[in-house]
Amino acid sequence: MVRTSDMHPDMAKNLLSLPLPEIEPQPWIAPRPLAEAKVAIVTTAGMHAEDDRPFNPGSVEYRLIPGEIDFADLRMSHLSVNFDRSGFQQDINTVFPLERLRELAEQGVIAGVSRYHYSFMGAQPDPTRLEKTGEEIGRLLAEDGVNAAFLTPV
Amino acid sequence: MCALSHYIERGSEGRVATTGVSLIREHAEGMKPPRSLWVPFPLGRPLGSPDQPDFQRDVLLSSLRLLESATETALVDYPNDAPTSGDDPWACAVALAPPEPADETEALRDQLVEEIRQLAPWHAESVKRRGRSTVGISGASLGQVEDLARLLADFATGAEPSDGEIDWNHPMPVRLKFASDDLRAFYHEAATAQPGANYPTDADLNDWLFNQTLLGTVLRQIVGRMRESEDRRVAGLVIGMIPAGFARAR
Repeated sequence: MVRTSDMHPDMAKNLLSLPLPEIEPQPWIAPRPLAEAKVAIVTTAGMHAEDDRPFNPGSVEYRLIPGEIDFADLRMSHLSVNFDRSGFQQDINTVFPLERLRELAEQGVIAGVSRYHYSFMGAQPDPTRLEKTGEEIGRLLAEDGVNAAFLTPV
Repeated sequence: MCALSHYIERGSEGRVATTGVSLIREHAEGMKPPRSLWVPFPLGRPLGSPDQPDFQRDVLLSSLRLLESATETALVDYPNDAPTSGDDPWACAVALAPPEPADETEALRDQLVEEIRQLAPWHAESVKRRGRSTVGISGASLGQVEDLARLLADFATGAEPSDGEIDWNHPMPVRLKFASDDLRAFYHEAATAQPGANYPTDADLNDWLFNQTLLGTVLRQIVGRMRESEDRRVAGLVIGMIPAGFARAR
């Protein structure tokens, strides 16, 4: 069990000092049944394709991760040193469960996997700065016929 | 992550529903994403543990099922801890005997390169087994890890950092951070190359790297120099070099 109370005091203090802005809730979306849903992954692990631009400090940009990407082409340029990278280094699904999502599609649990997934830099000192690019991703996913997004931090 | 859930749903105009996992429960409580599964796993491992596909699939599915079960903002606790390899302590298969770091630049370069060469066969085994390496965010190729070591040795001894042959992704001083991350990735991948039932936690690997390798000692020297720097860009990088709890040798 890992709670902030179990973490190094400096790390917990830093995490709990991050601002948590109130964001006006959206009208509730009634999702499709999973078996009819095409699903995308959105990660804040600072991941990107090897030949894409690494993230810079404070970046609110996103990187496109093609659905057919070979895991050998994925990199992580997240700035924070205070999270485990060894899980990602050993098995990328520990952070970005694309192979698990593909398996759920093959089993018919979900209808399909998005052609594109998206990555942001996490540990944002002001998460409201992600408003513009976050909304852009929402539009892009919708226009690509995606019904659900699985969001994962790092 | 929590904020993105709101923004993605808003931008989709009701066409994309979000769910996800949360590693910091307090953040999800405060920002109230529509659907979130809090998981009791270490930071950096939102799906639990590496090479545990059944467990990872269960975490993913538990979050996706919130799309069907939740009818209002939902924060649900995942009930299981991430799998571990048991109570036996992990020990790195590569027995390094790090020397006292040399004061002179060329000597320290040679010492670090020698340590990397001791790890290289294990790293090659890692690449063979996994079919990939995550080294490369600095711009260095796998064949250039020794140049990364030379850069760090230069800075640690106060010499002008050399460019080497690397097509760097970042200018100095940010380059130091990503060179350090790439070398740590090389060490971690080498140390975890040997398959076995007893796999390391993040704390195991940090303890090994920062207390049992020359690289760990050199990274602490670098942080010491960074703290003394009058260049605010350099001093600002300190926080990104060594994980909390490992700034001092054990």
